[in-house]
Amino acid sequence: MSSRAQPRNRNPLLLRIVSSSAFGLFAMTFQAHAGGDAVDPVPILARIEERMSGIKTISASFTQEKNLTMFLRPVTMTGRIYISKPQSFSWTVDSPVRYRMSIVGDLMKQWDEDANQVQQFSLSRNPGFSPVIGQMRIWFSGVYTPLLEEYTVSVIAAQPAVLEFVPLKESPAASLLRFVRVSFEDGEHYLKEISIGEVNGDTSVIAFSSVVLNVPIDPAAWEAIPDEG
Amino acid sequence: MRVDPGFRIACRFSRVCYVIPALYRLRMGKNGYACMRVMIALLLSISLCGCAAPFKRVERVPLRGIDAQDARSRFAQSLPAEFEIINSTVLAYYHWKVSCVGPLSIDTAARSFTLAGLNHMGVKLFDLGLEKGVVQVRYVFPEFARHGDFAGAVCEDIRRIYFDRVPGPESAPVRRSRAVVFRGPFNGGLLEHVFAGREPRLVEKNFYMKGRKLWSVSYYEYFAKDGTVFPAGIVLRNYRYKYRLEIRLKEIRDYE
Repeated sequence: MSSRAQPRNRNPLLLRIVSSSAFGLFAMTFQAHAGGDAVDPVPILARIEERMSGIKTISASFTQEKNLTMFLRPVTMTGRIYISKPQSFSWTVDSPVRYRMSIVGDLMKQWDEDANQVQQFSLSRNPGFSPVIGQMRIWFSGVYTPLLEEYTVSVIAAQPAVLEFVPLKESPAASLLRFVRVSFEDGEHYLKEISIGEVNGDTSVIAFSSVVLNVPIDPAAWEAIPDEG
Repeated sequence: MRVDPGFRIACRFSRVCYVIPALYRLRMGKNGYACMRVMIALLLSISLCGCAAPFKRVERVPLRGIDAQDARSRFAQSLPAEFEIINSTVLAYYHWKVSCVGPLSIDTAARSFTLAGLNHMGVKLFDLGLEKGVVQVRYVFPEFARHGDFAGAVCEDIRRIYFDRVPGPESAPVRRSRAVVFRGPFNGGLLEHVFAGREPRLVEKNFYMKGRKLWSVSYYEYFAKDGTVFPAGIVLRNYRYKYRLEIRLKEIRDYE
């Protein structure tokens, strides 16, 4: 038996309050990190789809940074993108090489200044192009709810939305992509940025600027060879 | 005005118009011969024009008084030992062309490099390297991987272009009026270096095996940066497999 008496709590109520608060604070912190308050993406996807459904044409400048695992600095490409829903899409690169890929319906044309040769393909007869073309169309379409069948979707930010799509193991995209993160502009009418993580460790970040919505697109945007100006 | 070499050749060969009527014992007046010559020249021009290199050739000037060994060592000193660049490359095989763009990091002393090729939408087509003579294949677009040893062929072409740009000690100079040529044994064949221009620089590298030219590399439009020189344009021709690479230098980066 100890000869020394056990100390008594001077203020058991205060101690309990402090302990409970500390525990609560700890629990909240843990819950936030563990995603216990994960936001349901479905309403956000529906909201974005509704806002983007009114957009029929998009013209924008882009800067694409491709980060390759074996190189310290990214490869940067700049250019313009034109979209006229549902079937017209044009990707024009100004630097480092002038290039254009335009899709109108099933017909894809591409040209670059160095080869200086217009190549035409039918998308339906050349399924090899489908994964890349399909990816581009998906992210610009604004129709994301069907993606829930192939991706798990996390809400990084709720308003304006920043969403991360991770392909399910059995989906075709899983062989190429680790994730796709899309960020919307304040009104959620168009993409502000798209980040793509590839299974090989490379990442691409495409940022859009000088966006013009619902203005008729110059038919020259669908021509195989872009104007020099 | 620069006349397309194809057109010059076409005009020269149009003289065959004098032979054809003779073969068929036809009587033709002066106007007849003239018309036939124009037609032949036009036909040949259509097929030959555009076969010229896409870059500006170096002006071949008389090189009397230029010491061959001095030209070699000056050129060697002007080359960067290590560099990182971004190139645009066109692979041409008959009328079919494929383009890509991408970074290349080279250490010529270590004979190693890292290379990536992207299409113009940023999709990676290949990611390769050469380290201690061994090809490193990190990625090849599946469609390319189906056509033989794509990675090996690409790395071999990079070696041909960027390594051995200075003639070895076993190469002997051959004097020409407007070029300094070195020839020496290389990989079981003969490697020829051709230097030309006011400050003689390597304009051609040709490789022969058993008297037959297997490949050549032509260098164009040299420019200086930070005391070293880079060709703005390069064309590799593979005569055995009948393809051509046209390489355009887009950016020079600091080597890290």
